[in-house]
Amino acid sequence: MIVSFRCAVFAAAACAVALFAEGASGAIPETSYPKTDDFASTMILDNGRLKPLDSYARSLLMQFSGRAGIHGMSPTLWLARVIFLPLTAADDKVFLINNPEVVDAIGVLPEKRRRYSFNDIKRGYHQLTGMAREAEAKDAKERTLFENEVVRVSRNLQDYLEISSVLMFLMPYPEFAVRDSASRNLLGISPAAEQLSFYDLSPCFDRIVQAAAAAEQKDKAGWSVFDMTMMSLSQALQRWRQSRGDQPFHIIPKIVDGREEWLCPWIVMLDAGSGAQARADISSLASMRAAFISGDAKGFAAAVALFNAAVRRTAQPPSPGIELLYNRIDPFAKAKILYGLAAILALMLVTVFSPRWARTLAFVLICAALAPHTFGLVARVIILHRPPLATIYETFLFVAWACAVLGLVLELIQRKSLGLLISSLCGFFFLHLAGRYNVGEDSMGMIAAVLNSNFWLTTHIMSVTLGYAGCCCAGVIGHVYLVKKLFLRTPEERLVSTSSALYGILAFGLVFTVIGTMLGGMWADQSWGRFWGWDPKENGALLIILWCAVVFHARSAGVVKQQGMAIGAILSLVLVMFAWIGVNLLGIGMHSYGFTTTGVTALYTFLIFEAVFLAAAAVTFFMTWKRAV
Amino acid sequence: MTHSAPKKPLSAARIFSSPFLSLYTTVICLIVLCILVLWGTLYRIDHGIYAAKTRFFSSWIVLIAGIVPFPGVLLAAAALILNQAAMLVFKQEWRPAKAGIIITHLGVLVLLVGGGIVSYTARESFLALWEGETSNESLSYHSWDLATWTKTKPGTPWAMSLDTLRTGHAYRSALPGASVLVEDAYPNCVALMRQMPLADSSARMPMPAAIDSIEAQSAASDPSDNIPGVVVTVSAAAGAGTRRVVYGGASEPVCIPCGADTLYCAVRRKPVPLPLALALIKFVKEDYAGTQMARQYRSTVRAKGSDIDREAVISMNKPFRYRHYTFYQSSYSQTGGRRSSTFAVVENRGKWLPYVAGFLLAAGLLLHFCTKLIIHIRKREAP
Repeated sequence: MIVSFRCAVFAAAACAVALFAEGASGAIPETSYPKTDDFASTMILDNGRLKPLDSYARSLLMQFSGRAGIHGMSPTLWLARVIFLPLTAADDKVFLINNPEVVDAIGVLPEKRRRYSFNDIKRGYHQLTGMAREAEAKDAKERTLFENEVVRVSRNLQDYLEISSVLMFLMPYPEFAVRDSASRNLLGISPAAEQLSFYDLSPCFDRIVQAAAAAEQKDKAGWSVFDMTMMSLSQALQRWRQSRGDQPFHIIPKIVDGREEWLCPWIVMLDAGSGAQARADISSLASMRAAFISGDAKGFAAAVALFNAAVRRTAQPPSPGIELLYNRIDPFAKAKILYGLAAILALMLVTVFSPRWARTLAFVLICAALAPHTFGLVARVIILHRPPLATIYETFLFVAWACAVLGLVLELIQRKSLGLLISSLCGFFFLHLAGRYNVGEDSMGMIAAVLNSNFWLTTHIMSVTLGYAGCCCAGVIGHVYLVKKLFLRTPEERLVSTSSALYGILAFGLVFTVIGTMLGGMWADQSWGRFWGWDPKENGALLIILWCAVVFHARSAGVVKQQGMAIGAILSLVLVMFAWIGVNLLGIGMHSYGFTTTGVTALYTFLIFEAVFLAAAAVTFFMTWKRAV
Repeated sequence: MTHSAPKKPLSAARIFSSPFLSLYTTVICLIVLCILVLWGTLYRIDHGIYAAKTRFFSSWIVLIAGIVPFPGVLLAAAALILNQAAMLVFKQEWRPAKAGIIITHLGVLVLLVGGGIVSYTARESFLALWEGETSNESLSYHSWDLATWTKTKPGTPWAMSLDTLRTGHAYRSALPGASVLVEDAYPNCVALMRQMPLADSSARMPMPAAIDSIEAQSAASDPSDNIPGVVVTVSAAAGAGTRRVVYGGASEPVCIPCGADTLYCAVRRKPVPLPLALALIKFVKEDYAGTQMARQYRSTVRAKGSDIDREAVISMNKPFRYRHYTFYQSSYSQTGGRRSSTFAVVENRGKWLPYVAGFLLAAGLLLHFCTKLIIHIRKREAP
């Protein structure tokens, strides 16, 4: 595949010319677009993976706007508008600008929802790209928040321009205007068409070149309108052809040297002369576009079906069914809502009242939440062919699930509503946190080569995250214990089940953290040549193990009792957050694939909350003790 | 995890181990280790892994503010080993119900002792090969030699470790009768070319002829990034000495004509002999479809030794093992159509110890957890 930066620049520039044209607006009414269900299942090679266009559109929207949807229209419809009707889509408010200083700097009126359309931003485009160039010249670590935002928005705009230009060759363009009848006759163009597209003219390319060559032989002063038209068309066509190169939107498969390659439409367009299939593919895309912009639902569906059938004749892409279902259901969002409702009930059950119906309802809600949650995890396994544990986002999803299951098991053993609280609270909290890590990038992206091992992902990361889940659940129980003991003055006899649950679940956390850490050492020995290297991630896991060992040995030695165990469990939760989120923020060590800048606020908020909680518990304990004395 | 103390008669060994026969000692050791691990991890952010290892993880004593002594990881771990051993021998009840606890603590002992053995015996080096190239020696990450050889006997260099070189001393060279006087030696330096300092560390590969002098630098946070250099005066049996700068980052050796012969001088990474010769047949970087992001790195090598002659594939997570040596896919480079692969080479005679410890720990903890769980459930079900 020929990869050329020049092409991207050219295509983006071509699109930009159109998009930046003053007064540009959609000529097609907003309503009556054809249904894009079949178009959503068209496969595309993106980010190292074949995925349906629906997923591609969602990941783009997530990148641009931090959300996978846009005011009522489906992500695929938005994508269809961007590629088939870029002038209309330029009004869609998809660009998230978080920093108001950036909005101010590019001279855009602030929007309440912080999302702007291309047309909103285009007046400040040159300022933005200028500032982005300056910021990019700096080391990433030295950039300010303002500069980071400028770079992010600028890159998003560049990506948007590239994507909106992938079918520019199908669109009429001022450079390809043919007005004189002689030229029309030569090229076989109907009198109705004033401006033509590169695609319209490409069959006549040889004729245009010949006519232009003939004109060149003549004296320039004696050129007719026909000669001038041919010269202008020839130069424009040559310029477009020379800008040959790669673009995003790899939707057309081709077998090259026995290997399956996925090409962008522009590359196939340029190669259209080389094969009937290429011509048919481009023709399908042209029909698709024509049907879409005219609102011809049947024609659009037929063109999409024809295109998809041709794709499946050439290549064997995976079936998009499960991924489309996963996208449509949005399982983790559904599960989060259900966990949230259950958490409200469970909190009341544990602290205020405990009627049977409420307990049953909370249990049902958690089971109902576990259904989409489990489906989501299984779907990711099927789609990605690996366990869903390779990114920090996925570990949050898994730990949320593990906590929910662990809580349900505890509830089945104890029937004291404590398990319900753990399930629902952890499920809700970690799914919410996962959502914070799923902004701006494809959650099903590529993983580093060193992580590309299903065996170690399954054994090491699953064990460690189960350990994290155990410690998190124990931390929640620690909070419940202290709240009941110190704030609600519950007698010790009624807290026996809580402290035994804390002991058991913290032990579960310790066992799996130890197993996971040992397996991690073995993996490190297999890939890096050493069992232990004092890497921050390794140290984080070691800290959890050491601290849990401190808590258990202190209890055995009689140094601490139930209350001390509860505080120890809360501190183990703090260490889990340090090992899980904090270490990735340090940006040092061998686990570079996990480095992130997300989660600083969440981590500090959590630490402040724990500090306040423990301080309040200490004050309450001191006052109770003083009264007793 | 209770340790009830059975009454045993006093013995010399018991009296000796009494300070370690307490769970308080265990708790203190564990808390000290917690502090050290957390402190060392945070210390590494600004000072690098080597400094953190030296100050916390491989030290007996950590001086706080340069004055107040605090136990280092080695001291805390040694105390924990003695504590665990004493507890197991004198205090632990050896009965089936405690099997999980006993196995776990045995695992901890094996892990700590094994960790100590491995850290003192394992040797790490690297081997960079171009496709078609063969080598039976790897290169040290940290140790450097001052090597000399002659034009007439190029295959037999005379090497001296830079760690043992003393300035002001003259050493023998590969050329009989010629001596090398070490005037200056720098563990980390940059080459100065015609008074033009090379500020950029990535441009530290100048041509030898262009090196005018070298300038000392502070030690890099990772010692493998240090590039040493020496200033030597080579004196033949007859004639005046020739002063030369020999820089570790130079791509070519320094040539010093000595009568009819020529003495070559270079500062180079210390070679580590291997028990086999490894030839790189092919290196492949597999990318994710449509991207340039690597999915896998794979090197096909031919291993030839006294008892081995076969092809092997070294890839991420799949090293090649031979006797006590393990070869890992570490990095690669591509220049002008040529590809090279770099392998991390580890000689480790105790590599199985962490595996045994890991197995014991996991099995012991699982056994103990399940035993406790069953006891708990039975207690609940009992009328």
